[in-house]
Amino acid sequence: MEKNTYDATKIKVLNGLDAVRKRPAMYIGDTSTYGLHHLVYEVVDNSVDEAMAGYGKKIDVIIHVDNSVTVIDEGRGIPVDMHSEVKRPAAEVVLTTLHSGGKFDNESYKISGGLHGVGVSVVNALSKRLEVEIKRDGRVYSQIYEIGKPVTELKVIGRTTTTGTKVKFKPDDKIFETVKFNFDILSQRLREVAFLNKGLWINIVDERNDKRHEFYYEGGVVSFIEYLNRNKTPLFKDPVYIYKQKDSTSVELAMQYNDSYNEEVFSFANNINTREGGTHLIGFRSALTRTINSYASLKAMLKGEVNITGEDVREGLTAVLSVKIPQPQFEGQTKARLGNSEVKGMVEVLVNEKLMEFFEENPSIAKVIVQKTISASQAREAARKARELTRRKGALDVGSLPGKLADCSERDPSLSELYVVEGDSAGGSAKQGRDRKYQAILPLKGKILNVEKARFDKMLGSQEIKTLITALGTGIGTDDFNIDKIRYHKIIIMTDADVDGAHIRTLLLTFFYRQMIQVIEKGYLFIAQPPLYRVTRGKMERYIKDERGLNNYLLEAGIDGKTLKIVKTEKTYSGKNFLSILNKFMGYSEIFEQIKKRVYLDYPINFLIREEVKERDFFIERGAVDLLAAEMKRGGINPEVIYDDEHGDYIITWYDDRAGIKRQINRDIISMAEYQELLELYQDIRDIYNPPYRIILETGERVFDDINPLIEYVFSEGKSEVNLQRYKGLGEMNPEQLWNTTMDPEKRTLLQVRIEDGVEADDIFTVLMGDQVEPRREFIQTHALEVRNLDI
Amino acid sequence: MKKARCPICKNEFEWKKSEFRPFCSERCKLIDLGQWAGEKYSIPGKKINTYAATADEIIKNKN
Repeated sequence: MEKNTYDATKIKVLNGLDAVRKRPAMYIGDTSTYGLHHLVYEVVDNSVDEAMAGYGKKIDVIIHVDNSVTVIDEGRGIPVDMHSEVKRPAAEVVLTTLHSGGKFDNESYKISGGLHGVGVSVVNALSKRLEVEIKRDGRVYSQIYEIGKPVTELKVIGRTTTTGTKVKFKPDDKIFETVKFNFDILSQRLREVAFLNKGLWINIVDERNDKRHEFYYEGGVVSFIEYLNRNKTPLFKDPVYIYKQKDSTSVELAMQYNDSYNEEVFSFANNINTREGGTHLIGFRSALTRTINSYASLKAMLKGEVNITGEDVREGLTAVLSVKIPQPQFEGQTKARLGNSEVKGMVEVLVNEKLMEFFEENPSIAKVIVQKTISASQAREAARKARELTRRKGALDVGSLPGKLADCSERDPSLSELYVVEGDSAGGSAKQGRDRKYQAILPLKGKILNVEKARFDKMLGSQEIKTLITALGTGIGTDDFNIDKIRYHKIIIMTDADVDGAHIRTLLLTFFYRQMIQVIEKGYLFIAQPPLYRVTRGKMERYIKDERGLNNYLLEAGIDGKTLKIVKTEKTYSGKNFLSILNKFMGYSEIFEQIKKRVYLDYPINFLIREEVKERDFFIERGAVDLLAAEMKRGGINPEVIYDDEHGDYIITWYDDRAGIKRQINRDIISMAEYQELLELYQDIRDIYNPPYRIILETGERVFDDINPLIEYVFSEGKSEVNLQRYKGLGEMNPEQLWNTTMDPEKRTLLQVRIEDGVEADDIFTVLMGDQVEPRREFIQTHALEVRNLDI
Repeated sequence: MKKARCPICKNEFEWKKSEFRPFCSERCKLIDLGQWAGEKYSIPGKKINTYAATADEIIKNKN
């Protein structure tokens, strides 16, 4: 009877394991590489459970030459006493019965991992041969199985003073498609296990080629994070660490951000890598998003439309989440997703609380994290906008060419030109003035933005940008841009010569430089040079593109029919010679005026230059300084010479009636760069810088006692000779004028845009756009000066 | 090697090595395009309050 019961039980057991052999994939996922390696994990997980229960610290895994594997631990050893129900040694029951063993009984192992619900009996069933050796109670037991059936009894083979279990198995090649173990796959898993179980030693040896690894991590999951981030740049030094254990449940989390944009999160339940996530991961993600958002709003770090989503908080995140729970439920195809619903709330509450605590205690790290997520949010938003611009079906097809474009009839890009013109009225003139065979016109309008009712800002509207891209035919963005599809090999930016025009030009240049750099690299981008002035003199008409050109023209007109005589040398100059002298004088005068802004008086500058004073030591000698002071008296002021103790030389002070303050001249004037430059220029004009000057006219003579009145006179003479018109905008030119000056290839000047011009435009743009108020203000002021000169 | 600074993330990169120049990465280039598309780029223009501008000038001239 007893024997019958034993047989019956045994048959039942064998039936169970037969099921495993019939449908192995149900138990271990599949019968290829994944399933094969799973066998090792099942055995190792049992050993880890022992270690985590406090028995043994070291696990050895050996891959043998014949692709059998041995796993050795220092645990208590599988029990060998007779099982009360089946009357077989417990070890044999564990190895031959599905769902047997201590793990379904929470008392034996508080936290158990190994079973994806299966256990070592499955390994046994799928092995050609399995040998177990148990060290327990001072004895060494051994038993051998073949395809899950014991071929020997469990018998004592020796004595020992230690404990532990050793399982050696050789997977059945009738079951598995491959029976070759991969050292790297096993190593990776064992490394994870070592990370997740602080203080556990795992050695793996591959006897086929003598490779070996030893895994031991004092820092546990924190070490895991450091390992994952080893080739990256973390945004802060120590990973955030959260741990809580209560009864038989524990949650452990380590996380850190790096400067990449990728997320690397590993989640585990009872040491099983839950590749498909599950409730624990959902709880963590939700808490992370929520905590970062709450902290950021609490500290008023979210401005404008920023909205931080779960996607944003995961950018650059490296995290390891490990939960250990009594009864894990694994779901999904490969049983790699945790299903226990109570875990979500548990993880979420814990992370919410502890992470907020961490942020409050480490505000600088919190700030780095929040900024990282804000930048992710902005990037996500920008990418969405960019996609909107490009992805709308057919939006940028040439077929949908914008109505605003006045295209040319030429279809060969190398012969076609596109004028990108600012403003509708200028666009109108350009459309009428162009040669429609090969010149296309695209009028663009800068959009005006009223900023807080205090300022009008200029921008290119998204519609304008879309129109431009469409007209060019190239598409936009990394995947879609194609320079070979460009429809014009000359793209000519034509804007007004005023501040607004300059701004639109800067915007366009920056856009081309940033998003279509190939257009610049290929040399397709140009800037038109519309004239700033139109001068007529008698029947002659001329267009002049800038102020320098205008000055030259006015001087030429001004000296016409006149002769210059330097009274003291009796020398006379006319025509080109006269002009050359005037140019030299003007250069000198310009620098002179710059110095005068700091010194306020002509006399001392003139005196020092005439005496060709090069060194500051001039001010050491009282006699010399007195001479200078005497010269200044001629300017109607009352200078006073004072000894300067600090420098051991003299300074001259006087009272400026108009400004109502005391001013002074000292050694510093000699050190001024402008003074030294003036001195150099003086060398060149010394012989002619010799007033008074006499201008001989047909009708008589005029005398000038300095160069400035002389220059002014010539200019005014020039102006009276010509009729001057300044173009404030392209719209002021009629179509014919625009053609003649700016669009006719025979007469026009085009500036080809080089990469350096793009860089410069970008710099200007960056300063203008920048957050730093100071450089922007400086920039606008400097350029405002240039603009003022333009607006004569 | 010519180094450049990415207009978006401000990190330095090797100009010739980046196919996304003048940006360091595709991501930064895309963000920039998004800024254009979203009309986030504007150049500060004239102040509307002309009195303020005049006052500024007076102060500047005095100095």
